[in-house]
Amino acid sequence: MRAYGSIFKIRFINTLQYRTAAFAGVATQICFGLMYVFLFTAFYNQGNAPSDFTQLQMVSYLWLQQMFFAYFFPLDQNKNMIAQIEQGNICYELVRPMKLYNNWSVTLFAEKIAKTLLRFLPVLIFAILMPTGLGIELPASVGALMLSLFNLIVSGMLIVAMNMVCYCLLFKTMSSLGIFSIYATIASLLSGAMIPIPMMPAWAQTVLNFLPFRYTSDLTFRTYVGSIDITTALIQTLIQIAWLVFFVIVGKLLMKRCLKKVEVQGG
Amino acid sequence: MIEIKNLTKTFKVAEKDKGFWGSVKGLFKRRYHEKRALDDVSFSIDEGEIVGYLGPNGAGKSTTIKIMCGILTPSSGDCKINGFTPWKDREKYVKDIGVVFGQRSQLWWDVPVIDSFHLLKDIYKLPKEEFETQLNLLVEKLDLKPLLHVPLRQLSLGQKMKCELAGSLLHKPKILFLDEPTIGLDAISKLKVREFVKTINKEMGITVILTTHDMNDIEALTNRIIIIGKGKLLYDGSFDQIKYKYSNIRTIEIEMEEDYGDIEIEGCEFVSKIDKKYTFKTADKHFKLTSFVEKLSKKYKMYDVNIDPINLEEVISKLYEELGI
Repeated sequence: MRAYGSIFKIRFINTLQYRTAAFAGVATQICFGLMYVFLFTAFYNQGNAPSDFTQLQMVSYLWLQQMFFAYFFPLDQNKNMIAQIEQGNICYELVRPMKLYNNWSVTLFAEKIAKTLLRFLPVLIFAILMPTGLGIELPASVGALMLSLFNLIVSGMLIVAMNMVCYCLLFKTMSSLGIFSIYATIASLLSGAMIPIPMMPAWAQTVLNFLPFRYTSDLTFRTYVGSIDITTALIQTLIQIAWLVFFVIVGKLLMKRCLKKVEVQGG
Repeated sequence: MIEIKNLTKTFKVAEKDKGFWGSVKGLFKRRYHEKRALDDVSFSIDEGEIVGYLGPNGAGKSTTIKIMCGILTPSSGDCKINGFTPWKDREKYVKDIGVVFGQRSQLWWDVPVIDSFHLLKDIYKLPKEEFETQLNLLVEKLDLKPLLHVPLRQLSLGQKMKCELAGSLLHKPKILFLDEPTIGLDAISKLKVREFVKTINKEMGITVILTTHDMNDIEALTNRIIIIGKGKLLYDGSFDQIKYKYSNIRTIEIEMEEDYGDIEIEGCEFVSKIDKKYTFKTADKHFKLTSFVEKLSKKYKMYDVNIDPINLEEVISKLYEELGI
């Protein structure tokens, strides 16, 4: 456990070095936040509002999305890990007395948290300072806040677990460009990062309930704003945990198979 | 300590037709051909030995090392090291080995070296005191003190290699695998690496297996070599024997402090002299440079001695010819 703690620490500190990237990120997030808020407010003013998603909830949802953009980004492309698979530096990871799956998961999670910590606060402050109707609202209740915090943490782990499956597939394809960009686009759409899921047609929402993607950001934000009641949120949290367990098992099995067949040629 | 029996490893290599349509066709139907990287290789190594593992590029050296480190699974054959089968008991087994791949880095690129060492300490679950003692020992032996707080990316290749060596020995492994540890290093760094490897072998009793293309590495470190080529074991035995068998005429260049005119000396033929630079040659297979230099130094003052190194590729290609491969 201690080893993973240290890996977490070193990756975390390492990511914190990239402050300029974070400043740029904050600026982008604020711009996108404003754009989305204005865009969807226009929809609402046309009288196209969904019944279970008020305008204030929608605006908070959008700001949360921007605050935690780095955290919920569907696929973290860790250059180091990709290079290890593509170029064979994985040799060194494999001569350590630890599980590669855990090592990489911890790495991804640490970087995710570090990136988020650098970015979320300025966006939050900006969103609070916005006038009512355009800024973030308080959570629906204390219970909703607590549960959404829990959802937030599990979401991060779920995304990492799903990413690990992608990285395992990378062992087979050996080229990150195709698989990773396709996955990132599809996952963004299906998790509600492009259009909030409550604003999608009913049939699409039904379908998405059966997929893992919305149990990351969408669940967390909707619990926070209270567009789903606590009971529904609790049930969906269980589904979220089930997906996490599922992807961890799949990832570990895949990793085991990959490492058996890994070929490091040359050098 | 290391027992390798009939080790075979085949890789599947995808073939692609040339040109655009070749690539398109490759999307739907892939042809593979099998490449035998290792073919029925067996040898054993005792505790405390230093063994040079030689062969031309693509001979299967690195593949063997990677199998012995538990990274690759062989297609068939057996390998027992310290009572473990590396690829089966990888996580338990790797605690006892240290590995340095000359062309890759095990330390973290953008953090100070000491941070990488501390991370390794946690990864190997080393007790604090044990770690500190070993670290101090390595820092002293390798003269690392000024490097510890510098991020790895700012170090030169030679400095990096010293840090890599230290990193691979923090957990006191019983076996050290060195895959081309002197690649790209300058003369001084090479000497230091060699000297260090010698010391740890003697003082800590670490078994060392190293691959290299630099015959001076071998000459300085060991007499036992294993040569493979095209995946097959070609030779396992003494380096001297090979050296004398396959090297024919050798030239020795000596720079004198003064011009002594023509020099006649037994055992070596005087060839030419340019200014103070003398050239000798010998066909004697048991020629010993040290005794030759000793003889000369009794009469003359020498500034520099240079003997042409035996060409590994030449030796191996001669071995190939003889073995009909």
